[in-house]
Amino acid sequence: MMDVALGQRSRAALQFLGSAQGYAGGTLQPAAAAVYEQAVPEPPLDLDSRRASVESVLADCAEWQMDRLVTRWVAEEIYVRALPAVEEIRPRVEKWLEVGESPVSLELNPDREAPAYWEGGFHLTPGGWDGHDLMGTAIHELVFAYVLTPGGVGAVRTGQNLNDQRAKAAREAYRDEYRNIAELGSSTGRFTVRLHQAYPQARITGVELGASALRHGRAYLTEQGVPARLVQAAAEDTGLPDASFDLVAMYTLIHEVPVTASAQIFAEAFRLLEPGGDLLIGEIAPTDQHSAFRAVVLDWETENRGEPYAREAMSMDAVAMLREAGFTEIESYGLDGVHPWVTRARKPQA
Amino acid sequence: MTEKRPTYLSGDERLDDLARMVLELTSEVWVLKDRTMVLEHLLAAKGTLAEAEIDQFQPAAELAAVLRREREALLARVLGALLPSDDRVKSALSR
Ligand SMILES: C[S@@+](CC[C@H](N)C(=O)[O-])C[C@H]1O[C@@H](n2cnc3c(N)ncnc32)[C@H](O)[C@@H]1O
Repeated sequence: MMDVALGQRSRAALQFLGSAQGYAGGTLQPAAAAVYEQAVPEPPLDLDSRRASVESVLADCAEWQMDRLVTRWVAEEIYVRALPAVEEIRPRVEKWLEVGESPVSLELNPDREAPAYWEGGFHLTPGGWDGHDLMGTAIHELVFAYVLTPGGVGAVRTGQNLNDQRAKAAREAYRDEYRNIAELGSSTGRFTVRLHQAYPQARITGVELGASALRHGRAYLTEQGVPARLVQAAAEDTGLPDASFDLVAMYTLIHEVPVTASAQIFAEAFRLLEPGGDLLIGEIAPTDQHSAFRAVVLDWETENRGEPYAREAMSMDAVAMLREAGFTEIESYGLDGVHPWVTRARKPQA
Repeated sequence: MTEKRPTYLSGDERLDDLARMVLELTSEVWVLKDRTMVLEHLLAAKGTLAEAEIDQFQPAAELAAVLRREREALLARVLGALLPSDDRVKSALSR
């Protein structure tokens, strides 16, 4: 791991955010859930009615309102604290990012056309994914280590570990061995490492739009001893050759993009796969897999935590879209309950 | 962020602002408390202070008076924040 030791103030202030989120997700939110579930034993099924039902039943519930406010506040405050903290350790970070000879190659393509929805940004990140030259490091190292580790945000519950979830999902592809894996939306390589551990023989190509994430990913994968090729490109138009992979994988990419882009990404995955090749998707479970309260909590992120496409992604019929794209043997199920939600499929033999 | 923020507490933006301020203050209290605990730990580790010394310490008359003045001034500033400014000026000058 990169040495992310921070000064006392930054460390304590970031840890405070993690604990505040842990309390909201671990105490306030379950209390609000209990109030709702007691008041509405048989909640409606469709998302709009669920949202209306939760909003009206919990309109005066202090725990609910405070849980939402704290979650929002933490989401905003993350950048207010993590970006100055990363500046504080800039020389150390830059030295760490300067990877010499390495089995991890990086092809940056500054002229690439990023889709408009990507430029629009996510997660309340100021200026979008590349809004700061060390955004990848700030999020991957500081926010993960100090704020997200206690859990309690979005689909990761308080006390759950988001790296274990990735490791489990990575092992869910149909076969035990792969030779050539393409990972779409690979960001800083957190899932790439898990794919490598699950399929150590495979050559992995990571496709990602964000330059700071890719730069951080190269250093991180080098340090973790994971050989890979990283390419700056859009998942819907990777520029990689037809039929050149036996596995295409993605983890929490789909809820970040509009449904139309998801359809294009599925088509691109189909094109990249050789006949008989496999697809593996780890995501937030579809709306109908959650309790009414839980579905509303996840849906809330759409307007309140910079997840503009969460609602449509959770409501779309991924299985039907994959069938449409030509995939067969489609299976969809949750690990550890519903998160992460795994969807796997196969490109038919010719 | 130029976008208007959603409101969370009874639809009252000012209440949200206040809650944000309370969160920020609690965070600041935590940063200071963390620092004090680190300080005590280091002082003890370096043998400057025995672990229980701060807890068992009884301020002698002179320090007790200083602490009391500071405590009263803090309360006067916080609880006095609702008083008219003339009174607050007078109170500030009297210290
Ligand atoms: C939530 S992150 C997940 C990252 C990584 N898979 C993981 O498990 O940590 C989503 C990533 O997808 C990237 N992304 C979003 N839309 C993309 C697109 N159309 N093409 C390539 N990457 C995209 C974002 O830049 C971001 O790094």
